[in-house]
Amino acid sequence: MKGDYLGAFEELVLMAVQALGDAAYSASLQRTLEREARRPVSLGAVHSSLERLEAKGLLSSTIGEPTGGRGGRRRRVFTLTRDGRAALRDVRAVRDRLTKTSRAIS
Amino acid sequence: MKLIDRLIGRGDDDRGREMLEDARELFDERVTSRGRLYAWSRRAWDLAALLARPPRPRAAATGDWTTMISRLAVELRHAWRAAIGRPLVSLTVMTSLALGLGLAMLTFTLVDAILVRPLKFPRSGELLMVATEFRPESGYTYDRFALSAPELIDYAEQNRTVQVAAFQPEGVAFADGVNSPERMPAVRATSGVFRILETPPLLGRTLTAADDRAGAPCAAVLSYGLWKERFAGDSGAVGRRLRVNGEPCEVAGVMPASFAFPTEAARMWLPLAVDPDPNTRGNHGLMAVGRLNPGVRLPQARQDLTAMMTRWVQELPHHKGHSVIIAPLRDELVSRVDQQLLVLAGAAVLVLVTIAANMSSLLLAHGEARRREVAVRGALGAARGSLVRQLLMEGWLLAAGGGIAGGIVAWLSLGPIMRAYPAALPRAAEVQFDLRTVGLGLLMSLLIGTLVSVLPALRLTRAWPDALRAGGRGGSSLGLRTQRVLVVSELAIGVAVSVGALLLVQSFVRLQRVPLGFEPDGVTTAIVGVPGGPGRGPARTRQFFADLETRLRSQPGVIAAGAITPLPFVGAPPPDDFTIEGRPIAKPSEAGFNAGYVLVTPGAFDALRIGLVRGRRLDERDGAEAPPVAVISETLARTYWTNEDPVGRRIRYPEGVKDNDWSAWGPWITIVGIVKDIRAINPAQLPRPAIYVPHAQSPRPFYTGRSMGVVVRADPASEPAASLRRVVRDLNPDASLSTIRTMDVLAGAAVAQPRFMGWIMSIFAGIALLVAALGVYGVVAYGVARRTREIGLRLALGASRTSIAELIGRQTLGMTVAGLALGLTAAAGLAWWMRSLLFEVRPFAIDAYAGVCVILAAAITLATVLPARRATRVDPLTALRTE
Repeated sequence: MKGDYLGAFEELVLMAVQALGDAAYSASLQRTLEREARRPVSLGAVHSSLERLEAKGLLSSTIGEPTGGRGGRRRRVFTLTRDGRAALRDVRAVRDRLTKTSRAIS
Repeated sequence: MKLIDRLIGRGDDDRGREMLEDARELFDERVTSRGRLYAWSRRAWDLAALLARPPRPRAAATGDWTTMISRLAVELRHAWRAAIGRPLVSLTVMTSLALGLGLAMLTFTLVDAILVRPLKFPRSGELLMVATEFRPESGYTYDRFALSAPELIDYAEQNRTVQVAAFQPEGVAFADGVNSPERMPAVRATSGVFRILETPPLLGRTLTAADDRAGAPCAAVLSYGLWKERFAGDSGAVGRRLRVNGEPCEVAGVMPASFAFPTEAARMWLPLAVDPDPNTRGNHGLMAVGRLNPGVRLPQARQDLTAMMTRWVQELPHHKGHSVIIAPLRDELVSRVDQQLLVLAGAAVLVLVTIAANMSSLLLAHGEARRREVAVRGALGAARGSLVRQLLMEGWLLAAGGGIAGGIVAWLSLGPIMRAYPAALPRAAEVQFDLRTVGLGLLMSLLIGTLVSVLPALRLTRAWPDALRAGGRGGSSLGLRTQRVLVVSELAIGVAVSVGALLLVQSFVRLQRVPLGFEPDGVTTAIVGVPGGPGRGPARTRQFFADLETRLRSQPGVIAAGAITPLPFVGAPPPDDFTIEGRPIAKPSEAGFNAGYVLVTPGAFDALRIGLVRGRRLDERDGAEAPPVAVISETLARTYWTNEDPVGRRIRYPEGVKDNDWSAWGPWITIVGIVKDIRAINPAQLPRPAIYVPHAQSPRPFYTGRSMGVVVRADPASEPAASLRRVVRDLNPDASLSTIRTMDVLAGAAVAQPRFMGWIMSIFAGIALLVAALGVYGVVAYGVARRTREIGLRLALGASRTSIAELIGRQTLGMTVAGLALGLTAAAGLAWWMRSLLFEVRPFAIDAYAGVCVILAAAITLATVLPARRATRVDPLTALRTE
C-alpha cells in the first residue's frame, strides 16, 4: 500500500506541521510551504495532503479557539500524532543513512 | 437551504468551507504582498481546485430521500468530471445530439400540431367531410369534388347516421363603411354547419335556420381576426352595419380565435341558401361537412351514404361513375401534407438513430480506453451495479446537454421556418413549441442516453478482472466489431436519407423548370370586384373591366394589362359542359364535352404572355355586340378535335343550370384560336382543357364576372401596385381590391411545399452524412491508435508505408461497401414509398443514387485518409517502446 510510504510533498507537509506547532493550519501551512519550497503551492494540494495524512493516522486535527485577529474564524489546527512523528523520524533516519553511505563512496 | 447545501455536496463538508475561508485569507495577504492581479489569479486556481475536488464517498444509504438525492448528486458530479475530462468527445456528442434532437423536436412539433392533434371543435373526432369522387367513366376525373344541392339535401334528410351541412368558400368584397372595400376569403354556410361544428360564438350569435331561407337578410359572422382588425375588438360590434359585395349586411356574431373553418384563411361566414330544386343534380357547387350521430362509427356512416349513392347511380343517369367520399374532417384538411410530414418524421428518426449509433460507438471506443480504469475500480470492490449506474449517468448527462441545446435549436428555428413557408402547411397557426414537445424531447434524450451508454457499460463491466490481467492494452475485437456494425448502419441511413433528399431536391428543381405556358415574372396581380345589384347590371360590369384595362395600359411603365378569372395559381377553372355543332348532344348517362371556363379580357394574354398556337387571340373587336367567340387551349383542341382543325368550329352552352334542360341555349360561339396550355393550378398539375371566353360577351350568366383577377405586366420600378390601386379607385370607389401580390409570389406559394420538403430533407441528409463520416473517422482513428504497436512492428520488419495505408484503407472498404449496399436498398424502398411526392423524377433515378455514392465516397476517403496518414507516420521505435 502506498500509505506505508510518505510522498515527497507529504513529507514536506508533515515537517511544516511540526515546524509551525500551534499555528499549523491549512492557510499558514500553504504560506510556509510556498515560502520555504520557493515554488507555488496550491491550496488544493495542501488540503488533500492534510486529508490524506489524517486518514493515514499521521496527523490529527482539532478545531481551535477563534483567533483574535481579522475575521476571528475557528481554525482546524493540525498536530503530529505519535505515528506521524515516528514516520518523520524514519524518513530522516533513512536520509541520514543514505547521506553517510554516499559520503563513504565518494 | 440545507438541502441545497447537500445537493452541491457541501452541507457537512467542513473541509470545503475551510478551503473557501483559506482562499479568502490568502487572497487578502497576496493583495498586499504581490498585487491584486496575482492574488486574483491564485484565488481562481484555488477555487477551481475546490470545485474539482473529488466527491467524497458518504455513508451507506439510510433510505432518507435527501441522502439518496445527495448520492445522486455525487454520481452526477462524477459524470460531470468524466465529461469535462474528455472535452472533444463530449462536445462532439452533444453537438450532434443537439442537431438531431432539435430537428426531431421540430418535426415532432409539426406532426403533432398538424396530424395528431384534434381540430379545435368540440368532439372533433366525429367531424367528417363528404364529397363525390368522379371516376373517368363519368366524363371527369376528380378524386374529390363538390356536391350538388339535391344530392346534399338527400344525404342530409335520408340518412340515419350523420348530420350533413353545406358550405361554399367565396371571395367577397367587404366594406365596413370606413375603409374602401377589400376583397377577402369568406365562406357561405348554412346554419347546419354551425350546429355541426358546435363551437359557441364569442359574441352575438352564429347563423340560424332563419338565415338559410333564400332572400333572408345578410348576417355576417366574423372571424376573431377580422373583428380585431376592423372593430378593434369592440364588444359592441354585433349589430353594426356592413356592406358585403355592395349589399347591406349586419354583424350577427364573432367567433373565438380558435375557430377556423374550413381553413384559417376564412375571415367571415355568410348565410347560404341551398336551392331545393331537384333538377340541379348536375350543378356541383357545395362542399359538405358532417358529424357522426351519437354512437355511430365511420364505417356505418360510409355504408349508409354509399347505399344511397348506389341507388342513385342505378336510378339517375347523372351519377354514372360517381362514388361517395366520406372521411374524417381532419384527415381531409391535412391530406395534402400528411405523407410529407411522415417522410420528414421518418427522416428525423433515422437521423436520430444515426446520431445515437455514432455516439454509442464513440463512447464504446472511449470505453475501451477506460477499460483499465473500470477494471481497477472493479477489483477494488466497486459493485457492478454502481459502475453501470455511473456510466449510465454519464450517458444521461451528455444526452440531457444535447437535449437542452436541441430544444433551444428547435425553439429558435420554428418561428423562422413557419414564417418562410406560410403556404406550405395547413393548420399553420396551430403549430407552436409547447410542453408536449419539450416532454418528448426529454423522453428522447433519456432514451438515447440510456441506449448509448448501456452497450459500453455492459461491455466494460463484463468479465472485468480479465481486462486487468490483459494489462489494459487494446480493446477486444468484439468491441471493434460492434463499433463497425454501428458505423455500417450509420452509413446505410446516411445513404438512404441523402438519396431521398436528393430526389426531392431534383423534383423541386424540375418543378421550377417546368414550362408554365406563361411568364409570371414582372406581373402584378390583384382581385378586383364591382358590386352587383339594381342598376349595376352586366353591361356596367363589362364596361368597368374594359375601362380598367384601357386605363391601366396607359399608366407609365405598364407593358400590358388585362383581367382573367380564375387567376392562375389562385383557383382552378370550373369545369363546364358544352356541345359541339354537328355532334350529338351527350345523353345524361354519357360523358359529354367539358372544359374549364376562363373569363378574360383581351389584354390578359399579353400580360401573361400566353402563346398563340393557331388562329387569333381575343381582341377589342370581340365586344358585347360582336359575334360570340372563344379561344381554346391546346389540350382541349387535342381532346375533342383529334384529327380536325377546331378553328372556325362552333360550340354552345345550355342557358340554364338544371339537369337535362336542353331547351334554352346560349348563342353559338365560334372558336377563333388555339393558345398554349398553361399550368394554372400549380406547376405540378398537368393542364386541363380550358376555354377562354371574352369577358365582354360572358355567354354564361351563371358566372357574373363581377370579380376578376387583374394582371399587370409592368416595369417594377414604375410601382404598378400603386397605379392599380389608384386606377381602380378613380374608376369606381365602390370597387373592392384584394391584397396586391406579384405573380412570382403566387408561383412561389404554389411550389412552397416541395421547396420546404427539399430544404428540410437536405438538412437531414447533410447531418446524416456528416455523422456517418464522423463515425467512419472514429472507427478508423481508434483502430489506428489501438494498433500503433502492431504498425510499428510491421514497419520495423520492413513493411512499406503504402502497405500500411492499404491495411487501414481495407478496413474502411468493407464497411463502406456494406453500408452502401444496405443504404441503396433502403433508399430504393424509401423512394418507392414517397414516389407520390416526386415530380418528374423516377424513384429509381440512377443519377441521384450515383450522386450520393460519390459524395459519400469523398467523405469516407477524407475520414480514412486523415487517420491513415497518421498510421504511416508511426515511428517504429517509439511505437514499440510505448507500453
